[in-house]
Amino acid sequence: MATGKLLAVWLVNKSGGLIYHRALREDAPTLDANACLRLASVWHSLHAISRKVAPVTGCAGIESLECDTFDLYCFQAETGMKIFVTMTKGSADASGTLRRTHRAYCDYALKNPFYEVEMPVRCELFDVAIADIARSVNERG
Amino acid sequence: MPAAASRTALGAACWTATEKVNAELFALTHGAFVRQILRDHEDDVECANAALERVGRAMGARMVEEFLSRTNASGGACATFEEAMEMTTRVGLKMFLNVDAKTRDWSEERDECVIEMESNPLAEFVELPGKYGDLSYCNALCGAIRGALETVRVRTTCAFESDPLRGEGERFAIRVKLLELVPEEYPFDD
Amino acid sequence: MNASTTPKTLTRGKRDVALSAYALLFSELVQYHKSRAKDTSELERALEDAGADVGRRMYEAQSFRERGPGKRENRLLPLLQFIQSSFWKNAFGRAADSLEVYDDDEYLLSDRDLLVNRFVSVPKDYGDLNCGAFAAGMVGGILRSAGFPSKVSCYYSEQAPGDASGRRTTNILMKFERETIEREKRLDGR
Repeated sequence: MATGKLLAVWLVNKSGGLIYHRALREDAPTLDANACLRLASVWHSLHAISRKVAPVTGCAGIESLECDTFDLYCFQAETGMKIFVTMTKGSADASGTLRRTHRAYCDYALKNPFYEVEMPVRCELFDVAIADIARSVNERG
Repeated sequence: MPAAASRTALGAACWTATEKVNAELFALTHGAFVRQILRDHEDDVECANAALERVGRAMGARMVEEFLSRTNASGGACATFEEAMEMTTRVGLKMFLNVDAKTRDWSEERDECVIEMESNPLAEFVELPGKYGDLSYCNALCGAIRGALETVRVRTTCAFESDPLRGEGERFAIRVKLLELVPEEYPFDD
Repeated sequence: MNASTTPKTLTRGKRDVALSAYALLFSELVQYHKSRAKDTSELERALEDAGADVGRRMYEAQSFRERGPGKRENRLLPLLQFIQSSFWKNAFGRAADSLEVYDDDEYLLSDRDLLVNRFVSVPKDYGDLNCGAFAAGMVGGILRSAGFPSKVSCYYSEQAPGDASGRRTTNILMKFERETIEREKRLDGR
């Protein structure tokens, strides 16, 4: 099976506000800024619904959404911070990618004195880290 | 493995895995920060204590994200105050400060305890002059614990139970009291 | 306050804390001064001042450990070389990349990956601010206490074309007083 390619990375704060979105391949759809904000907020709600309707307690919410042409993988930390990625179909180390993205956020956003928590991430070194993650995922096999 | 031992092992593993920096640089930078805060508050110790708490709280709020990413804790990993305290004490303090610590003096209701620390890198090289007798020099640490916990919806109060810099006891000990486990907010609850 | 550096704590083995803890402390220090400074040059000056004390104390502690009490470098070039190699390695985990002399009264210390700048992205509206001013202040503090007063400043190198690493070299420029340089020349027997 071909390997899944990373299409886009999204970071959503605990209130459902989009704080980062980046398309990483040419075949990622072009979305305007408002569409991105709305989609992030809708995903935030869907994710919350999935936790609420689960018949068990402590459900972590939707972890992946499989579609015909792409897959979406999501991770939410206990802080409410959510990261999701879209990938083309194929085998993928999605949890590794999510974890590396989370780690990059901890390093290059949270340790940057110019970054304000919950606000959009505009940090050059974070962009570089995301580009590195995308390169390592997309240049595999 | 009993829970306490497995948390200690997790703390040690996280400490081993993390990138490190000279504790002297850390202690002296913190010391310079404390002196600056005292100057800016014209040696008003109460105000300085509050300012240090705020600094720590902001640090804790950011720290907890990394704590979660390194421990892979998710989905109600700390469902109780007791679990949250054990993770803070045995994993958090070890992972960030290389401090061995344990909880003691639990209240009957399990909503209050004391964190006892074997060492405290913030207090190295420090002797407080008499006029700063009421300064809680390491108050950022209380702030960090409170900030980290409240970011994962555990509201507490944190204060030094004993502070050797103030001539209290041999070891640093922090009393943490639970105020509220804040329920998670959902976008559709109004 | 006089954080006294007693031999007992100085001779104890080298300890570490997590780089993350340090980076978050440093970030709070920058934010604190950022909220009080009226412009970027005032912010840089505040970071320099904070660093000066840290540098001097770390240098004193290290000299004491490595050379014994009272034995310190009293010539400029060996002192600068010590700062570039041993001091930098002790404080930041690696030696600085280069030390160059300019115009005889100016020296330039460069670090490709300065520890305090590791996680810092300076927004465009802060112009050419470099938080490495803290490290420059450390250097200035050492030089002043060793009897070589200098004016230190700090700036990023231009990014090499095609370099997408985001990393930029931090340069610390030291400008010495004429008399200091003349004195060093006399001691060289020139």
